[in-house]
Amino acid sequence: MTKYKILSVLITLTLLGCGSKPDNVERVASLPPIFPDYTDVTIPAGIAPLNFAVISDNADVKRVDVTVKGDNGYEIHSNGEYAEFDIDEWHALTEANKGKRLTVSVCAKTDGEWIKYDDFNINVSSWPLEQWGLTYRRIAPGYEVYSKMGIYQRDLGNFDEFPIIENTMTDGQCYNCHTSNRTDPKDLVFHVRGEHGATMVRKNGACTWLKASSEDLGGSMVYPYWHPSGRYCAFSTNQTRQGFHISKGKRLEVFDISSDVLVYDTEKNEIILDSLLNTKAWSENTPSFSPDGKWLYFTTCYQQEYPLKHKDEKYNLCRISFDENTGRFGEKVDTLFNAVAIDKSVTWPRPSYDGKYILFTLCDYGYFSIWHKESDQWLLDLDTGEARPTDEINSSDADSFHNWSDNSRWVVFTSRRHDGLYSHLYITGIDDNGVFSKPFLLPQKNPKDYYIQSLYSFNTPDFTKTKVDLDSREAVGAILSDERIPTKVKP
Amino acid sequence: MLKPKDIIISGICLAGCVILAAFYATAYPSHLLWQEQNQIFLNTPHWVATYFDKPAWLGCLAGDWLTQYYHNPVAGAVILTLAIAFCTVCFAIGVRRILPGISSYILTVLFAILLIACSMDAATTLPFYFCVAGGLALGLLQHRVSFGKCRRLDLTPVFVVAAYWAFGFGALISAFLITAFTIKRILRKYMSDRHWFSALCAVILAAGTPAFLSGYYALPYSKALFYPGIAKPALPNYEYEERLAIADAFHDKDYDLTRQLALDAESPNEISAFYYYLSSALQDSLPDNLLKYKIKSLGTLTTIGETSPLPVINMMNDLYFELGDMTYAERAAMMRNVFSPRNRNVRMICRLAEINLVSGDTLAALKYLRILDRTHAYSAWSKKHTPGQMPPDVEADISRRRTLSNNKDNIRLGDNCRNILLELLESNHKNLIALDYLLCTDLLLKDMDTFKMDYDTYCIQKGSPRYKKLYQEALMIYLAGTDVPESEWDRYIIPGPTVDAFNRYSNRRGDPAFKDTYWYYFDKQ
Repeated sequence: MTKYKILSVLITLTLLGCGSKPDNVERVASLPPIFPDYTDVTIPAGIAPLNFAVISDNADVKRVDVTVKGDNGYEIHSNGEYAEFDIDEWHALTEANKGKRLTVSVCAKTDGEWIKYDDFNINVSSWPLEQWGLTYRRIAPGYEVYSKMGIYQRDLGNFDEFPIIENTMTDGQCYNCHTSNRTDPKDLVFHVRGEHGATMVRKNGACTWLKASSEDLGGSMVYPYWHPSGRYCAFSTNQTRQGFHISKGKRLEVFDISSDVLVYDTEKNEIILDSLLNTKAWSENTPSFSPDGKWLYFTTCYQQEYPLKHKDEKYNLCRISFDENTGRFGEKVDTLFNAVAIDKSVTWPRPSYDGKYILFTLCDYGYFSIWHKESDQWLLDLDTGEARPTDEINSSDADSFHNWSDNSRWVVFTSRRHDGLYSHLYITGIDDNGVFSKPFLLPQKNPKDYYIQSLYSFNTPDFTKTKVDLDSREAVGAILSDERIPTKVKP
Repeated sequence: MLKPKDIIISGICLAGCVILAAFYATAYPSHLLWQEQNQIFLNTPHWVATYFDKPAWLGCLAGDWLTQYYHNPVAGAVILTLAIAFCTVCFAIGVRRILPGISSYILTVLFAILLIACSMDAATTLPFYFCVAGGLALGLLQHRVSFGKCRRLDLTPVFVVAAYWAFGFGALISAFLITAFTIKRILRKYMSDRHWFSALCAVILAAGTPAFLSGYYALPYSKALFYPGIAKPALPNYEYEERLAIADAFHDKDYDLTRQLALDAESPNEISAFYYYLSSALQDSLPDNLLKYKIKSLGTLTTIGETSPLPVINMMNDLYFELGDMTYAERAAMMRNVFSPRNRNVRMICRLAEINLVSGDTLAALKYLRILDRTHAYSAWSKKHTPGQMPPDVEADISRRRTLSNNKDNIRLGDNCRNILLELLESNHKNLIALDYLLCTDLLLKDMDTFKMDYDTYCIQKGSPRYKKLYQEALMIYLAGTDVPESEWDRYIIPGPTVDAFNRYSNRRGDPAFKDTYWYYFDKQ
């Protein structure tokens, strides 16, 4: 009986210890040193809880006590090793405070003493997200080689992540550049590299596996973008190479020895080529369609000699008209943003779905901006034709690939601001004046452990309206079968 | 009270365990360390939770957790021995219920030998043994439940599915045991219909659960069925142990021991030669020792890619790190990580931290140091390498390496080591390691024109002639083959015994009495 008593006492003491509440609190006049930095960020209602840890370089933070109050009422509380909020309570709090502020009060116990920091705010946007979640590729950078990698989807309302397809299922294939049509995964495309290479085009849920490369194309179907009609998908045909930088602060350079832009007609299984998009002296790259489908945006640069003149590879942002009825391009190319004139290079143009803006990445040269520390996001206003660096979301490290939410109110982008080495996902909102809110790192259940321990890079993120229901087993069977449909070039 | 027979058997088993542990600790320690280095285990709940992403979570978790203690060879030897012993005991209990007397003993001994043989393969990891043990234990437990107090409750499906969830391929072992118990009872004719069903159910579930869950676990069926992988029996590979021991001695910065182990190697090979030369270079004696090793492999002609053996990738990582080329050292470290389970190799994580400290990318270095801080064995190392907390020796080492680093700004498309060495010397012509590797590579290739050009560029023109006997001998060959005036000889050659020896050799070319000279190597090898 005695041992049960001792056990009861121990359990009680443990529980009391777990529930340690702040007392004799010392106030410090500074914001809490939290990771991720969620101070003054703007979030959509219904997003997963912004769990965070208090990190102190000088002391060991044993416990935090956090209270979050909404302007419109409702209060939630967390007490533990890090701030971890109940998902349902968090959702109720953010829903009740749409367009209002949340005030976060943080107490941390360091070296046995409780410290109370200044409160900070989290803004809940009045704009909904209207997306189920995100899709992204996650890969361990091995430079020329790769092991476990795959395309994943993440429910933005909680922390659930599901593989769409992982290369552990197919003996080490490399999957890249998945894209859905305006965040709707009914139309989906991704490219499979390597021995069982293919380009998977899913139209209204039915998958077609195209031959990955063809002599006629001068390369593979690499960076895709759907036409809003869902009938066409534009691709660039990058013949990619990579080299290693020797200089400090730079690691890798990815470049093309040639690239063109083409459009694939899913109804006729035809490739549409055009002399203005298939030039020999120039490399056309990173295509995207305007939301009305009447324009094809792309980047183009004068093809350089590699690796000697890699710093001279500078892309401009251009557009050409496209007639979806005939599948024909216009006869002239307009330059929308002359990056060469400012000695810079444009990559990843992504028009907002409301037709107001094009968000692109600007770097010193080349197009593979994730390896360029200087790369930043720029916003082109299509009404005024003016472009500006979006300093409110840029960092001193690489800020790169991005995509818009369906309602053009949210943007997800990759950034290496956390550790300079691995790219992570950040989400930001945009207001009526085209100004972005402070971006927030994709929430994780235990963000400190997750991001510190991760040796994976997240890339090519996009929002997804619904959960992607790709039958991975069927897809794997199709990949391994090597049955491919050859494409033909439109005469 | 134990019977005398049991005491004797227990004594034999105990003695066997002691001998086995002694074998691992003394004859196979580098194999064990290889296992430890080829993974990382973080002491955090988040890390533990990641084990649930795949089947066999308990086997893998227990195995990986204990593998981190392989850092100490004695601890590693004891852990591996106990794991094998536990598997054997479970097997013995099971087989004694199926087979009578001596046959069960013979089978148990054979099973133990099989497990020990599996441990001889460097690819066999501790989770394998835990999955075997877990599968056997759950099979035995099912038997106890089905024929014990709870016999009215058929829990076979629960046991088999749990076995797969926790021990992966261990479910197949459980199903095998359950089936064997059933057959035994059929033969004894006290079998009910329900037990038939249990056995059938066990087999179907052991094969069917992986098929059903392969999509969830994102594994093809063949991998899902045998997850985390079936070990293969092998004979002790002392040659591999020898190679690993040399690399370990180098890693411990014991260059005298590295060279001695390489010289004592029963099967000298590319790797032992490589570490012999690299240790020599770090002791400023590469030219002195170039001709002393049977195999001539500096690593400067080796390239790495997706088919490179893992020790070769490690080797190139060490070469570039010591030469001062952090770009390619990082490339090799990343590649080595990619080829490790869960993309983590603790030696390479440490190396990546060092590389980034040398190249001044503190943010990236901290990334790796924070990971190491969460380990049992490398937390102290991490603290010692954290900027602001470094002891003087670590700080001095980082500073020294910085002076050797490549400071060019260009793009490199392939691993042409000559170009890398030239860049390093252009960055700092006092990088003697790079200089010796460059000159010695020329000499191994017997490319005298290039050797002379490199010697001129980085020794004569920089005002730092390197008067090593090897280089003097090589220069004599070059000068003798040209009509240069005597003043040129005076410019390169220091008068003395080497000149006298060269004169003697010129009259006796190919004489083995000169086999330790470059002249003999040039003429005869």
